[in-house]
Amino acid sequence: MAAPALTSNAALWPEDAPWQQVSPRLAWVRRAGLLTLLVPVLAAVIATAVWTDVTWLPWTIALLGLGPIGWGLAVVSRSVRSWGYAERADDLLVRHGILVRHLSVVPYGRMQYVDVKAGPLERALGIATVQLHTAAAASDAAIPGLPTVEAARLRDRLAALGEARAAGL
Amino acid sequence: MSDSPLVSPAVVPADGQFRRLHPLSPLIRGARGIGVVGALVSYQAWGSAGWRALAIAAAVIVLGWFVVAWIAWRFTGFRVAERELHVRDGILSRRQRTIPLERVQAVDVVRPALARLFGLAEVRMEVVGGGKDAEAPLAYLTTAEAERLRVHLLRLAADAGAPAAGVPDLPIDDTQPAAAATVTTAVGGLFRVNHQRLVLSQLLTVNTLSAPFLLVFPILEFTSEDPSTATVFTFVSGIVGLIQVPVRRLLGEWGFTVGRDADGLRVHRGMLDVRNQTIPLSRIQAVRIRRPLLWRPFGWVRIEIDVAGYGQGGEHESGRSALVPVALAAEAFAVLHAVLPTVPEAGPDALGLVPAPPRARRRAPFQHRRLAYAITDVALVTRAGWLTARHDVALFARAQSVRISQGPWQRSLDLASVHLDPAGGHTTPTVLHQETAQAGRIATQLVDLARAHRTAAVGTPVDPTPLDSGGAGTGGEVAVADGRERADS
Repeated sequence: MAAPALTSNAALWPEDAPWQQVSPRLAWVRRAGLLTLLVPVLAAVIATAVWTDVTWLPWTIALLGLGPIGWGLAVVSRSVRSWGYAERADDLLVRHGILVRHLSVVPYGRMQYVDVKAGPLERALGIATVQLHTAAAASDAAIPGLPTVEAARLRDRLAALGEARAAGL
Repeated sequence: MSDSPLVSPAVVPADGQFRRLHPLSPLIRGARGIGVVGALVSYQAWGSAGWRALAIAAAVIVLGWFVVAWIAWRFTGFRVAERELHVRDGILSRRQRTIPLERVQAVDVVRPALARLFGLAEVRMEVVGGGKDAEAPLAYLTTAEAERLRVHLLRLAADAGAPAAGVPDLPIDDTQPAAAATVTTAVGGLFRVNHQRLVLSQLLTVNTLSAPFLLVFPILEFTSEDPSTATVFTFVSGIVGLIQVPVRRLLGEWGFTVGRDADGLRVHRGMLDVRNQTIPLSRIQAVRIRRPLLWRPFGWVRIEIDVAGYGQGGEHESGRSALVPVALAAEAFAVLHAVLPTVPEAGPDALGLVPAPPRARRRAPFQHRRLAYAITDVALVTRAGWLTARHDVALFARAQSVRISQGPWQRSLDLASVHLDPAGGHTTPTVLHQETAQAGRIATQLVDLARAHRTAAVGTPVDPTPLDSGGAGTGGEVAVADGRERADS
């Protein structure tokens, strides 16, 4: 079941858009990111346990640090499923978020350039992030977790459409 | 962008020679630095060296400074070729910048206090997507020359179909006297700020009003048994920082006049540094109307406009430029109506704004009464704010994207917000806390309207009736696909 995004409410946005999901492999990138956050938390817990006599301190740090990380790990796959994009005739839709939900509508004609980025882990998993740039920072949407081939296809298509429909400022 | 034959060859000056800036430029540009160096030298050397050594050191530094500034001046040049402005400078590493004129959003003629004494002025351009580096200020030219260059650059930057007639002869020559007569205040005057009101309005800001209360602390410290200079200094610099904004507004918006001519909006302002700005109407991205709490008893209003390209150099606070620094509401709305006919002369509230549903109060207890929006044929108008009431207007023709957002609290109340992003993104009008279904309908409507205006392309809806000859005021919808690319060499 896809995560309920804004589009689950038919009245809010037409469901007929050709929504596509991002690769589930993105979840591993997100998990790895959360796990690296464990390092400083555990270091703080051990340090306070060894060098201080305050018994509640390491427990508090562990709770405050591990709580959000645990919650993040629990919702990772839902959060990855919440990402979606749809190429419509004149614009690209990007939706994401489970707690705070976002939907961006970026017309092809307003795109100034498109970046494809991939970190080492993303490359190992064969995925990439497509980043859109317009003249407004707020509408610089990014689509993470695209399979490399799909990312290249999307970049080329967006670049071609952007050129064909460039509307300037 | 090369395939847009936007200007007839007759307009392009045949002369491809690089021109130098005014010979007095190094003197004026260096003056401020010399003052600083002088102060430093005298402070450092006060005790250790005698008068003679001090004088020699100062003379050497000043002389060296002038020599360097003079060489730099010799190496600086500019020319207008085809539809580009070329600026080259640098002594050791030479640099030539190319500024495509269709990327120019506005051209300012600035006359800093010192340059005014010599009848000189600076030409400064606001270029979109280029950052500070692309602005390439030309300092200094004679005032008359600067004014002619301004007109010429604007004509070149303006839309296709502009007839060659009426474009002043270029290349500009030095033979004409540097009379400041050509720098007039705006043609077709729309508004002139009331100075008494400007002073009062800047006194009635939170910053200015809180300054005297903060002044108590350094005074107490100073009169105490053991005054600490560091504490006094901290408080005084804090107060200076606090009143900086109102003081800058007062100085910068003194003598503010705005008018309209064929090129767009003409703004003339400034007490010490006098500025003549020209903003093509088609470059206006968004408008914000502000009514701070303390101004409301007097019925005062401030109107700011977002112009793409402004604010990247940090010159214009928060990227906005005043359209009306302060005025009675009726007066201010009349100006806005003249610039943006979609806003009625009675003010944006006369559009019959659609309010947010009553349950929005639970999400936004302080501003829910203000939350409302209206969609006209060319723009989205929103109202929000608590202490400072504000209206935001964004033009569909300039909209970059439409967004919907919904937080968990909003979701539990079945509310959502819709954002319309203009270029630059200083003012993002947001329809806050509408019913989810309604938000979806609003977003769909905004997307459709933005598309309609985008495809309508040339012929901006901001200004359907261009003043006088051939639409010089309706600026270029020039295709800029490679927005960040600049030809540096």
